[in-house]
Amino acid sequence: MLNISDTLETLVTELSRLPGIGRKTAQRLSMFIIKQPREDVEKLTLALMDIKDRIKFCRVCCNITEDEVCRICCSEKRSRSIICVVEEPQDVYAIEKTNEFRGLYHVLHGRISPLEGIGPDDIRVRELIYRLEDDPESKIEELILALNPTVEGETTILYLSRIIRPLGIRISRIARGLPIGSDIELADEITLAKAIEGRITI
Amino acid sequence: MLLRNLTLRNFRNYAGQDIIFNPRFNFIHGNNGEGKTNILEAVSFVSYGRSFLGSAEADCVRFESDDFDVSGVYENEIGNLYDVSAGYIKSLKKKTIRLNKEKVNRYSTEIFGKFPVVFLSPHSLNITYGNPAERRKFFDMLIAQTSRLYLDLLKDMVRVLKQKNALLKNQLASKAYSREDFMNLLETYNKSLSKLSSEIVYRRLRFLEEFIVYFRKSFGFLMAADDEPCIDYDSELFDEGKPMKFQVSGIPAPDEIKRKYEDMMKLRSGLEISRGVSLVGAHRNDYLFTLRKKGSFTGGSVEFGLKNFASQGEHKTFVIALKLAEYHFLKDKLGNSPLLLLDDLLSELDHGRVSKIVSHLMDYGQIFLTATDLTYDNELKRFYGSNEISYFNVTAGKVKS
Repeated sequence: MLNISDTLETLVTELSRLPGIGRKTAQRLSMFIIKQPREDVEKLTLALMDIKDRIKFCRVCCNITEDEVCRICCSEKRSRSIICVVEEPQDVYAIEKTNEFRGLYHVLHGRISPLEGIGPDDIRVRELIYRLEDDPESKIEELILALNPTVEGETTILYLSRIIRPLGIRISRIARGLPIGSDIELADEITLAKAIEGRITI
Repeated sequence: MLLRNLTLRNFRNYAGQDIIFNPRFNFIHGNNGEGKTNILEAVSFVSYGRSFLGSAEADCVRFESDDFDVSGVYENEIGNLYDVSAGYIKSLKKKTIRLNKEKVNRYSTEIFGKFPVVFLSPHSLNITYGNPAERRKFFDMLIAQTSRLYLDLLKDMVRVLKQKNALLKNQLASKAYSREDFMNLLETYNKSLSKLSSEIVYRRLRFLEEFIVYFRKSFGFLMAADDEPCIDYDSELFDEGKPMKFQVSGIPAPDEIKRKYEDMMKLRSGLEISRGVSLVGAHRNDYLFTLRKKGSFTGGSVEFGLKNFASQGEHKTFVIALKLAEYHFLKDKLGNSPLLLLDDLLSELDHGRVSKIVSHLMDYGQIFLTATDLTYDNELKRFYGSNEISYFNVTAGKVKS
């Protein structure tokens, strides 16, 4: 294959390392960038560098932030008695969009998976325990575990509930079941079985 | 369910072959090594999306080719047609299964159990002769075809086991975790594993309770009526290691099994830690086949463990009875008749038993039989009309009908 330009080749290779981007898409993005005015490309470059330089993890909840402590943790309007535990920062945004949860978050940045060499020390479990147990200002009464319904997510839920239960904090997990507006007849058997298992008395 | 036709391209020793099948009986004959079994293997690709001989897809690609395609058209009891195809590209390591031209993404929901096949071959003797894994595989496949939930429980158990074994191994090899973290994690996995194991064992026992009726019926027609066959579930859970005679004692509730598993895992955890491997769970259970012979010298009944005491003939009878029971079980549960594939079956049996089997084949739906010659042709003709049997002669990857 003819290599037209080493510079182009480098950009394509770097772009194709991004998740969800294959070589074809990387080529398209590169061609687009070539045709862009210089100031637009400068804006993009700056945005990329800024995100690396300015974004860090919140000292309290480990979510991404530009400050020492993130905006949710600083907010006067949020309840300080309840924490929602999630796997990744994007889960925070998903839950925030509901506008229903007014408590705080804790981002684990992963889930326990010995197969991939990820133990409790490799995700932000210590930080969570500090918030619950050692932080003198802590007023936490309840923990909601909102992890993904996978084998690894389930394991992390069981593990957390096991080490947190002795602290006397109420622990719950989000329900699993049918998406709103869907039909029971179209649901797959496993979701339906879980929905029946997690039924609620009315 | 009927398989109307089959097309093979670059599959095993077939370059390109179209076969139109008879809705009743298909007699595939030819010398050894000419490609009879390959046709049946292709049938397994269009019904399960993989080989029931456990061959890797890459091995099924014809010599000096890069990809194979097999496709077939199924017809159900009310005349609906399903076009199923399976293809594999060796250089891309890519398998594609299509149902009515649409790519199947979630194979377990869209295909599995929809086109049931019962496959009986010399290979099937592993069910009684082989190690426990062979028996678990046989029964797991059978239960999973009738219950998606069971299939999912199995998948989850395999995943949890992998994680637990990785945990034990990491700790044994390099003390990867602090003592406290490790014990908490181990307890966590044990909790998941005992829950999953109990659900699985409970479903296996419930299945056996139903299946044994089918099994005794098909066994009864192959063997003398005073021999009673049993299938017992062998698990460390019951009676201090003795196999459970659940037909006598009844099936324990899932919660009870779960509590037993939790206790057992606690008891064995020291050994698990020092050996670095999971030792307790549904993945270590077995099915025991026994034969209770009545009216023997002692006057009472005597029980024989099949594995150690049975003759070759008794093994074969057991396996054939298992397979025929599988057929009727699937037919009742799924509401449609499986295809019956009999690979090199008749050559293994004595004449009397063959006649018995042949005389009952009419009770089954569409049948595919392979043999090296037409020895039993006359017997078959007694039960099938001339337009109800199609003959296929196989020579070097070419089929002549």
